[in-house]
Amino acid sequence: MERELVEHRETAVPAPDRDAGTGGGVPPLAARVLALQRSHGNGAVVRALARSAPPAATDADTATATWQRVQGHAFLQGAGDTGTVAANDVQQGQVGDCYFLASCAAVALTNPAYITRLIHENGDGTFRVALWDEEAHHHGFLGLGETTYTHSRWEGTLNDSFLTIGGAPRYARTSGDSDAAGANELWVMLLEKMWAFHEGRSYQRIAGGDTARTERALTAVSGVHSRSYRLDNSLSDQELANRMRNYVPGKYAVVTGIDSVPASWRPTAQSLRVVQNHVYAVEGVNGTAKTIDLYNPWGYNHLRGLPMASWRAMFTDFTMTTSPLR
Amino acid sequence: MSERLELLESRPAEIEGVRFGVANIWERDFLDASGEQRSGLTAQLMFEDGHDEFVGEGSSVRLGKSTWSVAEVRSGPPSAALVLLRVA
Repeated sequence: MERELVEHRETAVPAPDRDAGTGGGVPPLAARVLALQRSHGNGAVVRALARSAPPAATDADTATATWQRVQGHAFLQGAGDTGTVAANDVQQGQVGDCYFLASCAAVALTNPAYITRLIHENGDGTFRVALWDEEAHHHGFLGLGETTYTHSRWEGTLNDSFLTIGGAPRYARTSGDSDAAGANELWVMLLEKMWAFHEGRSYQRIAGGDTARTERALTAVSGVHSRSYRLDNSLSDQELANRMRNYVPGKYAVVTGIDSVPASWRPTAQSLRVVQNHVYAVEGVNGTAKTIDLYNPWGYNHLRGLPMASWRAMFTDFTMTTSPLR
Repeated sequence: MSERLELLESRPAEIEGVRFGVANIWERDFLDASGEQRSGLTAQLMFEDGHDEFVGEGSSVRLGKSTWSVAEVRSGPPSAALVLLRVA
């Protein structure tokens, strides 16, 4: 571990690409990069980013896991996939960042081009990876007026080193897609690694996502302001289905979260294999059957054909981009 | 010392190529390793192949070629978890 700690001290966090952004403020961690840039120049930042030490491991990780290169490409088209980016590339590992991985799946389901624009493969085992930061601008006085949002790319170079146990990635896993040479598809692992940098250079710190964090994660992946809505009983099942059909599939990126299941709904959750304290990506809605299809970021155990009444009763809210991903 | 694994609720795991998720930890009836029915905190293990198993403290579960004993089940996020000890 000492080698990694040294690298941590020497390695700056990824720098935002301020030229590529639409403006906005400097993210907190980026201030350290700017300080390095001022004190040692652009060359120091570039050298530090090229080394790109991994985010810190958790205490439990350090005993059993090791950082290893996982060679591969950012994007590969698997058998049966319609493109290089598919929701089924998302396979969660042993960190509770379902809110982030569900956001990745939701954007992949809606418009894969929003994912491919986040990663550039340098061809030397490193990747230029970006997420989106958001800054709110309040116009008006005493709570009146409106709020607008600008988004800037938070970007840096990552290598292909990931925390592994027994040779398998501990966190987000490879998609299962590979090429003839056995190279893996890495886009989910790279975005998760960048999110770990963004949230404090620690995989431990990306565990757990409340509504606000889920909104931030969906914005970070999509580059579009995201907002949450509580599920309640003000709409009928049909009205809710009709409303959701305006959003999915292929229009807005939508995820939905569930807290602890109310006691009266536990038998239903158990039999339908609904996972409490979790976030799913919304795949689609059947207006006739009044059901919803949810993608589980585990990569399996998806909820397809979940009745609207069950969704509304067990789940807490849904979070969606405020504009379509065209 | 037996190998010990702590698996947190709502997350997937893979042991000896068997993929499953630990979910829905709450009180229900379950069978212990001797086949006797007991009541207490139980986790729903959701396997990739579509079947479920319900385990509580004292249960055993076979994962791949190994058998694991359930040493502890804890409830309440963020620390809700299942603790397994390899027995064979």
